[in-house]
Order: sequence, then structure tokens, then C-alpha cells
Amino acid sequence: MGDYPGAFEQLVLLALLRLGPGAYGMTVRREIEARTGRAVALGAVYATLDRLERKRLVSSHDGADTPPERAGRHRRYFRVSPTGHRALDAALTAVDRMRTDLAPLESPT
Amino acid sequence: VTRLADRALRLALRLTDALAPPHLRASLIGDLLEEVALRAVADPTWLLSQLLRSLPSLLLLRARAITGAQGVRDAPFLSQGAFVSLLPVIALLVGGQHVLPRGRPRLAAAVGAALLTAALAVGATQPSDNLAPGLLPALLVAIVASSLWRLLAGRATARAPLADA
Repeated sequence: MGDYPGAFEQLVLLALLRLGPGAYGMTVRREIEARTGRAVALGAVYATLDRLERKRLVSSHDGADTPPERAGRHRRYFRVSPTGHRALDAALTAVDRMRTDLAPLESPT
Repeated sequence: VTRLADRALRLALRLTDALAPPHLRASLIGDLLEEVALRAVADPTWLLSQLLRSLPSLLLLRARAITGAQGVRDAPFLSQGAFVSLLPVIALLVGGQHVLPRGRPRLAAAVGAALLTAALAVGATQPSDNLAPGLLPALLVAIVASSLWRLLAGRATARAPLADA
């Protein structure tokens, strides 16, 4: 196993898993923002999706639908590849193991 | 507000169209348009903040498309460790512009150096979208290199007559 996906890459992978086959850039951005409360730029999401695709952790395809509000532009749907599943699982497992037996995290007083 | 939002949207679309790599351009712009349509109230602040925070990522995407990076990792020159080794190159690019004649060549060198520095800074901060760790050293290097170059160039000019004597 190579490097673990980074923190933001993990968020994007998790968002893709949550959204299922209908996941594309805008929905990924909104999902992360809604669940983490963190302001996320669409460009950052696309840069990460592009990087994950180069690492073969996700795959993508152009959708056939072009809703009128997109002015004729197609959606690009993304999904987590089997390699991506394994990489994400390894990263989350590593974090879980590091947290095991650790007292609840609180700010030092 | 609506006019401002329209202008912000037009600016965002134009910059995205210019910077996004071809394979992602249509979907990125489509997503932006769709999200704007979803928002009931015109919000120029949101659009401008999206634009500002997306710009570095778009630069990185373009840099990746240009380098044609393939494989499991990004192009090595965009990794954090190698970024340090490129600091002299950036310093040369930033500092070197002062030897160029005033006008377009100097402007082109300055813009090129700024774009390269920004792309490298963004590359060095991956995988996060937080710019702070990479951008700050890049800016510092640019400032220091620029000042040093001017200082050295000034001394060289001042010594030149003595050298002839």
C-alpha cells in the first residue's frame, strides 16, 4: 500500500461514497460543506478529484443529461474505484488504531 | 446586488474558462452555473469567495495538465519536499526580471514568475486546499530574492567604473 489519501482527499472520497452513483463536483462540494461546516471551493474539489483520478482512486464518466441551468454543459460523475475503497479503508483504519485507548480529545487547559 | 452578482458570475466564468484544463472545463463551469441557479438569492460575495479560493486550484490543475503528470503520485516537482529545491529557480526567475529591459519583457517575466510561484506554492500544499503553508515561504523568497538582486545589481553598477581604472 502506498501513501494514505490526505485529509481533504479522504473527505472527498467519503462524500463520493455517501452520494453514490449520482456524485459530481457540485454535490461533493455541498456534501462536504454541509457535513463539516467547512467552506469548500469548487476548484479545490475538482483539483482533488483530478488528483484522485490520476492515482486511480476514483473513476469518472460524462453524464448524458444536460439540465437547462447548466447551459448545455454535461455533468461529470465520479465514483470510488476498488483501489480507492481499499486506500480509504486503510487510512481510516490507521486513524482508528491511533485513537484506540486514547482519552477523549479535549483542548488542553 | 443583482448587477454585482452578474458581474461576479461573468468574471468567475471567464477566469474558469481560461484556466481550467479542457477535460474538466465544461463540467466545472456547468457545476458553477448549476449552483448559482440553485441559490434563490443572488449572492456576489459567495461567488467572489468561490472564485478567489478556486483560482489557486485552477492554476494547479492547469499546471498538472501542462506537465502531463501520470501515475500514482503527482509530478515530483509539485511535492512538498522538492519544492524547497526549486526555491533557487524561483529566486532566479523573480530576481532575474530586473536585468530585463523595462516594458513587455519585464512584465512577461514578472507574470510568468508569479504564475509559476503560485502553481508551485499550491502544489506544495496538497492534498489540502489550505494555501498558507506553501504560499508564505514562496512570497518570502520572492521578496528576499527581489531585494537581494536589486542590492547586488546596484553594487555591481557602482563598482564598474573602479574596475575600469
